[in-house]
Amino acid sequence: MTGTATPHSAPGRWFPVIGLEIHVQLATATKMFCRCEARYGAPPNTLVCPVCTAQPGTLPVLNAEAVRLGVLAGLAIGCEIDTVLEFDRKNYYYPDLPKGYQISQYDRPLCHDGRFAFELPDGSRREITIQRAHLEEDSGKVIHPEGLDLSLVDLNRAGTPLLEIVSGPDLRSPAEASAYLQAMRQTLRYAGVSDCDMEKGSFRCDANLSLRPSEDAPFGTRTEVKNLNSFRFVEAALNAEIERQSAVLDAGGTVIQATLGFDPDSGLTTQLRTKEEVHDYRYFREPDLPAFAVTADWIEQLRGVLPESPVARHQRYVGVFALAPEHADALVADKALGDFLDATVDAGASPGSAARWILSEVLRLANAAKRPLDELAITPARVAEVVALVDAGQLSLQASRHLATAVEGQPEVAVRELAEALDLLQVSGADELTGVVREVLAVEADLVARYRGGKTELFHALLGAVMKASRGKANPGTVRELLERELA
Amino acid sequence: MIDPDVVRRVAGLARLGLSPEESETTITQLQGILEHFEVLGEVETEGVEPLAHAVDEPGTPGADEILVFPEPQDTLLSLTEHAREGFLVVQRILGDSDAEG
Repeated sequence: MTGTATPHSAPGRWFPVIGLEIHVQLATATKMFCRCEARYGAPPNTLVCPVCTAQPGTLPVLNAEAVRLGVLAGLAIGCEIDTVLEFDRKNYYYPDLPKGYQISQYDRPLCHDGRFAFELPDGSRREITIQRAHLEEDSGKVIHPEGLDLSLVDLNRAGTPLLEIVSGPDLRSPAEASAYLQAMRQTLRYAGVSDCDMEKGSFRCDANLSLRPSEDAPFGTRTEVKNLNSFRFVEAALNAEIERQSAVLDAGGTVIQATLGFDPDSGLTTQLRTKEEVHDYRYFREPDLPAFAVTADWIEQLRGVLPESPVARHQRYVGVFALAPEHADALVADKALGDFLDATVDAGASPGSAARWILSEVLRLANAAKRPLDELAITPARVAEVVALVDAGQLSLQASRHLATAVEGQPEVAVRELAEALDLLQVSGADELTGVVREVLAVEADLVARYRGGKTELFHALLGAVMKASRGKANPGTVRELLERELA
Repeated sequence: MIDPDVVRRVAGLARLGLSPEESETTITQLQGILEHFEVLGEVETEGVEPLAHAVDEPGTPGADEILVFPEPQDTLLSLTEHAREGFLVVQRILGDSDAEG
């Protein structure tokens, strides 16, 4: 074992089988079973109450919004939704779990049997199974301060609603796992069920990994690598664990089922503890909560309001909007950009021109202001006006760039007024331009003579001269037509 | 049958450290509890559906509206002397919970 996070040195010798468990904090205002605010970053133990600190005699009250977001998420990732919602207790002792059990779901997860498709970096499509996605409550946080012989507990997070999404053991490489994780995050963000912010812990991932000698051999013993909480670490951690297990197997040993942590500094996986068996959790139905009904009607109603998926949006951009695939990629990757495009098209802009203009000019404005799109002064409606001027040939692309800055800087002035005030509008009125063309032809009589003598390539020189005379405001198409007519 | 191994295992799951004497007492107590349940086991349950909850009606979830519990630091943390700078203080532990497992 070399201790680096490089792929196994003899690829093909051992074949990895990977399944991911993703924990997503649902974007509710309050916790799962009490009405404390569910918010990241508050001072410790300020968002707690007798329920989420497990004072004796308190009872849980289920959060309706957590169920709604759970169903929406399940639909977004292609799952079946159970019409009965039951909760179970998962019993174990840890200081971040004040009740001594976690309210979770055991044998009847809210969502099950999903199929989730995503794209690999090489552009090929992959579909894997989602075994289940169940509702549960998050634990508190334990902090281990350096140099002190104690640990500190903050229960603000305790009771935050989570959806745990368990994939089938269908992933075959760390790169696939990473692509799946990114697609899952994008899908859940599009569905509006979570902000999926890895830094704030609202999107977390554990991986199960085993090796086998061939692609059709039975699965080997798996280990679980916990807390792969950045995309950068997922592949590194999985590669390190493939290397560790390979070394064990190459030496004739056996992999022991265990829970491991990944240390990004050393690039190594290290054992946290041997895994408790499922029966050690002594799951049983939560006696403090009755079963809840999730009606088929309601599920269908939610299916109807499910926001467009990133895959569907991409298909629409390429298929209906006829955008170049790379433009569609960029617009789908950032949901806010795609939303901006859709609003601009709704305001009357042609999709292709609007997409190009947003990807160049609106992004430039956002980068310059270091602000997200929805905090810019420029609105989709005003972008639609600019794009309309460009499409009508009244504004050159070059001039529209100057206009962008003005539109952003002077939100109270109408777009057309700004364009006129900055003298950016192209002159495409044939009457006005005919005069300019005739003047140029008179001045350039020498060129005209040579053109008529057969040097037809001089047409471009004449066109340029007219454009120059109009100080760039002439519409090149109109000039071309007029020149052809005058020279005929 | 409860033996010292079972007690050790269950105590481990409950994060309890038992002295040999406590372990002995626990064996007797757990044995008594199991015997009590064996009496219940004599009831004829053939054809009876397991009951998880006494109420058959589906529950009603609550609205997602914040209700502030006032001054939790003063009221809840003051229930223990093991508090420090707003945190609860516990024995030093390493590794993470598997609340997420």
